[in-house]
Amino acid sequence: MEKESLIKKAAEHDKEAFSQLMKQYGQDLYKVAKAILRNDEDIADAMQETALTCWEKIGTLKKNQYFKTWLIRILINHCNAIYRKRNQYVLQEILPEQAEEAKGYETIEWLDMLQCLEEKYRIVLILYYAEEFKVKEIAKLLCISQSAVKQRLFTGRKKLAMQFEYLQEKGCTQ
Amino acid sequence: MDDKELIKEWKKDVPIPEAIWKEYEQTLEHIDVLSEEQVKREKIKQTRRFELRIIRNQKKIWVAAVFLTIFLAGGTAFCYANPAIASKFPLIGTIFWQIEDQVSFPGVYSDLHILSENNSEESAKNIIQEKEYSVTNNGITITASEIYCDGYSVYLTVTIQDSKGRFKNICSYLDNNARIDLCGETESRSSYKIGEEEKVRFAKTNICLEGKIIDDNTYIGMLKLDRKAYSKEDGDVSLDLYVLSYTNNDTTTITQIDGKWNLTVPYAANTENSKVIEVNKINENQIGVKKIIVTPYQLIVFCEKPEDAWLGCKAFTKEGELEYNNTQREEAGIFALNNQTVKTLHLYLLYNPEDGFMALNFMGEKEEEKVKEMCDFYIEIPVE
Repeated sequence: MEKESLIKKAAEHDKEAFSQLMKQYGQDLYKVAKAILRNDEDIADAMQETALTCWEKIGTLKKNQYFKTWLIRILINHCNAIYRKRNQYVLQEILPEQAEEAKGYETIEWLDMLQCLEEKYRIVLILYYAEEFKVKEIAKLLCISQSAVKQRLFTGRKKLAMQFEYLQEKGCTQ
Repeated sequence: MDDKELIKEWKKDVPIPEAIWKEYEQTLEHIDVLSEEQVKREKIKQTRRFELRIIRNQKKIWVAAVFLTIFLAGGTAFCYANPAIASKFPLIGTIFWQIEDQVSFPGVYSDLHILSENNSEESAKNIIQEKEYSVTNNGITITASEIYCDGYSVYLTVTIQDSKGRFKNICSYLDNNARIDLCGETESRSSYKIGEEEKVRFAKTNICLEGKIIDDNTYIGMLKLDRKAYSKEDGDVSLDLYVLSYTNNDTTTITQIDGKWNLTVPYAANTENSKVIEVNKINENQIGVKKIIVTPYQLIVFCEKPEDAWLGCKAFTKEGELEYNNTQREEAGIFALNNQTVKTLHLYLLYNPEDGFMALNFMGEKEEEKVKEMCDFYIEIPVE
């Protein structure tokens, strides 16, 4: 069923339609949650809490075309709450050891490399490149200025490129 | 890897761990039942919060009584110089340390308290008596807590209390930052002398508070007001506010609360760790740097440029690029130092850059020569 009609039915609390819809957005939720949180348990919590909140509040969604933005906003709020509780910090220096310890370290996934960045860079990179939100939309989602989004995209890309170069030298990438 | 390749790479599906997906599917399968239980849990939480509030209020009264007793027993500003008591007293003198890492100009503001133990006169200027600098209107109480001036900007922390408990709706961000906009006439004033004649300098700015929500009724935040010019003069900050607004959690609506809140708070300028460096280097295209100001929290770059031109400025230190912040001053770029000690500054200026600074793709030392060629002006400035 098309997303548009799924959203319409989900808004009427059609459980089956809601379930299908949320599964279709499962990848998006996972990628964004992973950009903010590191722990699988926390990512699972964030995704479940998001689904619950979405079910409860879908009736308040004003325009169906903003469903994805609205959903991601809810997810970010939940990730934020979990992040506050856990008080996690990303240490950029950890990357080489992580690469050696992880299975299949010889092929570093780009998304895994994001974990080396501070979370303010990770989230804008994921929202821009993976979720294809525009700068204006990201600014609204994160409630920061558009120039802050651009700066973080630029700085995040630069840092990611430096990490990638480092790993290439180490022979950890394809 | 360029943008198209990055998008292609990151749009690929990633393997979601089986445990995560299984739990997610189970949640969706029982969403209606779980939702009802969630509502019940929320109600229990709210009841518990209400009970805790009663207990806290009782404690506050007790602490205030102790506080008053110590104060009356004699001594100068030792009540504020004692962080243990200050931290128990409702939020006065304790806001900087709670939010100094998450604001747009992060840094160590809270060591002012350490200074205050040694110098009670300084503490009296930096930490504010609650009763004198508090105003209530339309259910909103704004109380000034701490104030600090690095010579260029004034940083003021406030507590805002809402009798209607609306702050649960404020949109919070990843770094735990929640923003409130205060609208009105706001200015910082400082007086100076030319000969014997006393002059007053004004600077008006819009304000955005950055901080965090303590509970449904309480918000703590910091605002940064730029003075008209850098100086070592003391002064005061005057707030004449008529609107308090914030973005709601849904990010699409705004709550606006009208009122009238007037506060005037004096400050002492502390320029001990700030410096002004005259540069005055301008190229044949009239692009260049006039001067820079470095304080513990920010770098301000005053540029020279042709009229009506848009100049892009990037600043780098050994540790990397400094984050650019929006400025109300067209002639200056303001960067957050983010706890860095700047020894050498590399400034790149780009004339009429398109779409911000994405055109400047500074990828590392190998690209530095290319960046220098792209830029219209480059300068290295020793700061220490």
